[in-house]
Amino acid sequence: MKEKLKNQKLLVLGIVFMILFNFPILSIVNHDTKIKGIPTLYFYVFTIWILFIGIIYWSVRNEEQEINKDE
Amino acid sequence: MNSVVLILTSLLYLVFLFGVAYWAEQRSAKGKSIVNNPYIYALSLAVYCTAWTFYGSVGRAVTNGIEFISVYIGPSLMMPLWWIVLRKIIRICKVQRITSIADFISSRYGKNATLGVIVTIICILGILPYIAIQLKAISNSFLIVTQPDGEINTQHFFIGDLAFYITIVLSIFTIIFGTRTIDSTERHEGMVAAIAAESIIKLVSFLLVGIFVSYFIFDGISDIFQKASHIPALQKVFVFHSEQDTAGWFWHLLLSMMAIMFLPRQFQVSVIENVDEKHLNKALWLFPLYLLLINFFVIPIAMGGVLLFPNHAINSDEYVLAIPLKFNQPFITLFTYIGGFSAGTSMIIVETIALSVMISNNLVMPALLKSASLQEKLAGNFSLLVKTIRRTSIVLILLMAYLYYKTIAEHYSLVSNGMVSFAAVSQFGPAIIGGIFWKNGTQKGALIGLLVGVFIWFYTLVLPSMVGAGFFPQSIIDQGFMGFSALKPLALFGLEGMDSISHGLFWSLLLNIFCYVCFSLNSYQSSIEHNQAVIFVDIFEYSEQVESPTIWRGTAYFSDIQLLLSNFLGEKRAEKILKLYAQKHKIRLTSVIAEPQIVSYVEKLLAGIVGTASARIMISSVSKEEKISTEEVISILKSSQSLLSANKELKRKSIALEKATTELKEANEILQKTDKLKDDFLSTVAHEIRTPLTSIRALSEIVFDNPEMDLNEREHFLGTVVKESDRLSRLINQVLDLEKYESGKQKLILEDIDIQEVVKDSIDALYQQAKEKEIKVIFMPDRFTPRFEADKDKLIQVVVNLLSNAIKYCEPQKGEIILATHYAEGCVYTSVHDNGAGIDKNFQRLIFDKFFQAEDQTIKKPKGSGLGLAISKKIIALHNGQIWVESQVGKGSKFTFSIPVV
Repeated sequence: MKEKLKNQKLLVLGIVFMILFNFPILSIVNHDTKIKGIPTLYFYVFTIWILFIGIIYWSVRNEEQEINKDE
Repeated sequence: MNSVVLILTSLLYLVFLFGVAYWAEQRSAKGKSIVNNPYIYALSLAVYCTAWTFYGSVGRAVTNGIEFISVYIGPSLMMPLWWIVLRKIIRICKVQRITSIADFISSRYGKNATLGVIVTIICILGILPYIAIQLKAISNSFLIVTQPDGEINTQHFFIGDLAFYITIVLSIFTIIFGTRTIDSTERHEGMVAAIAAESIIKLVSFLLVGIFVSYFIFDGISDIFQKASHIPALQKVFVFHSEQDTAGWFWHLLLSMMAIMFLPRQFQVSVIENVDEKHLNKALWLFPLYLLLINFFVIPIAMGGVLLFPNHAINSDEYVLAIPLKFNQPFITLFTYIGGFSAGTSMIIVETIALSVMISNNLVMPALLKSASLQEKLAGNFSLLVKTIRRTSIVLILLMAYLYYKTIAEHYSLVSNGMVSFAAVSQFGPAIIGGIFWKNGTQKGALIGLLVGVFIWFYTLVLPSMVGAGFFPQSIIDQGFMGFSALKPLALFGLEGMDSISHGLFWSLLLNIFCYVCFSLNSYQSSIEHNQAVIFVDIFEYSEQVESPTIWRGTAYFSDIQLLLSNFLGEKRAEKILKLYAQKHKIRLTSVIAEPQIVSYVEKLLAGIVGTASARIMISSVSKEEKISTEEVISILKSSQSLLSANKELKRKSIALEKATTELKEANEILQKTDKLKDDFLSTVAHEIRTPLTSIRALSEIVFDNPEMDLNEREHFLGTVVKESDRLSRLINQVLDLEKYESGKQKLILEDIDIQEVVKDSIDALYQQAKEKEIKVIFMPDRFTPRFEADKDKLIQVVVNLLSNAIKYCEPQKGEIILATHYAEGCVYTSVHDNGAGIDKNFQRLIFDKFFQAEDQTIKKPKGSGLGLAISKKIIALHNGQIWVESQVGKGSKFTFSIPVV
């Protein structure tokens, strides 16, 4: 049961970020402006990327802790 | 920089790598594997980052901006799905002892040798250019560092050409790494450790250049962008421009998502070298983090390079080295060179090892084993043969890569060559993903899908590059094959407006999937194929219960099977392994005909060494196999599965039943005991009541019969009758009392009390009795005892009971009773100490039972009802306290009760 839930969680995570990393979402930031001196598009891609890694870390870490508790 | 220094550094670096590998292997031999570690696993995955990442990304960023990063975001996006897809593949490979991607596909589709051959050839064709560009990058980086100003001369072939020597050294190095031992698991701990070390080195060196460029040459990243926005060519790439860019982004993501799974080297490190599935948990976020870090400074370096070398003075693929060189930073230059070197070598080592395993197991061995006479000749030398094939193929692969580099790769950039390789391995996607989730995918579908996909890949992506190198006429690209404009390689069926990679990937993958699905739906699976399909798709159901079900039927001589295994592992090892297996599964090894289980186990072991298809051929050469129908296969799988689950269920139920039985037994025992107690109690009560009743009746009869009785005597008799009646009613009261306590109806009336008052009141009540017997009663209160909540009357009852017992058992005149109270550790203790007869040790616990005294009536004359101590015990228990006695016969006894003070 827990296993299936984890699969689904990760699948949803993958799909959500697949959308965030693609067009048409990308076209929202695809214009010639800058945030803190960095082109908006570049800024967006790296920020979302960091966020993505953070969320994977968080969801997998929770999982590990639960497993440790069970053991 | 001096080229001798550089050559020495490179060689030293290789020696260092070998040292790491050697150390890791030693550790693993001692059972303290360092590779069994999620961090090493995640780092080894970073073999994904090659010279392409190290040098090529910067070049790509100069012309296309952020587009290059799709190749790293794709794998990151794949990570969550890895948990679902890759874990399944890992499990399948472990259960089936699969050692390469060719083996995987061939095994899934009925252990078909042809499929293995095709996949191997696709891998070689697809990966050669990729290895070639690594050679190119390494030799170019060497030339840039040694001759920064000189024109790079790459016209020489072989002798006199640096790249040739690099090729030779790397072949030797790879052979040492990859083919030292032949094992049935095909894992290379030493290699993995070396790759992990290389991953750290390339990351650190790239970050070093990045920081140097961004913060020492320029004033931070935003400063670089600020300056870059004044150059129109750079300003242009800050955003995506056309639809082509946006569509390309998607296709590149998809391409790299497949590459991270299906590149032979990725398959090798992520699946074959995986020690524990749980390592995936950490790799899921560590690997994307690595990709993010190594790409973080790519754009700043690219922009910085353009700003520092205007007018394309230097090839943008070389910025990473050229910038520290320009600013005279020998240390950074050297370190960067080593970083690039490690990126290139790590890819070459793993990729060639993976390819050599495929070539020996899926290409050469099945071909050799087909001929029976050859098989006989080779018997006994298989192990050496496999090693030789692998070593030869490593040298051949690298030499071919070298030739490719000198003839074709020269003309193309790092990235475009790599992309073509990615597209080649993407063709495995439908067969593999379909194979592990869709049972109906058939051999025919996979075969045709792969062939069609590869053909289109070749036509749309490789052919144009060969035209560029002059192998085909330009007219094919301009007018299409044989003049058909619909067959233009770069605009197939008239599809225009996509970049060549997206275009090629789209058509090849589309037709690949289409053929795979259509031919699968219109063809039938053989029994062995269906069998494998079921195991692959439902691997988690089967592998958790059975190591792997035996689906083999036929006859084979045990000696043949053993000989087959000995050919590869040596006689001693083969015997040992078989014995262990037989012990574990309780199989006899003495029979002449081998058990089916043994046969399939040996087949699996062999599959690990020479690949599934070859193992199949070898086993069938020594056995007479019977065909098993698909229905039988399914029923075998199902029965082994349902048998196991039924067995489990049965076990669970019988345990539950056993538990219920013991519980019932216990309950029954308790019931019987209480029943007996009740009987005993009743008979004792009856007995106790009869004694006073008898004496009352006897005395009153005497008075009734003798009317002329002396008045004094009559008074004495009547007095006794009254006393006995009192005793009777007291007894009945106590029985009722006890019944109240036992049924739990008795409630305490709690009030704030002082234990010293309780004792004093009790002494007052019995003062007269003690005085009559001339017994000394002494009260020794503690200076302080806290007040607490208790039922005062009940406690007085207890103390009175204890005191009256003491008076009863003390000799007149000599008796001395000491009452004492004290407080310790949250409890108030009260004791009554007499110097009377004392109580035998055997009775000390029994006296608190009801009517204890009654049972001993023959020995001692009863002096009380026998219920006093039982009631006292109940009262103290209601106060959560305890009561006990310490006594020695002849020296008196001491009753103590304690009550916790809340």
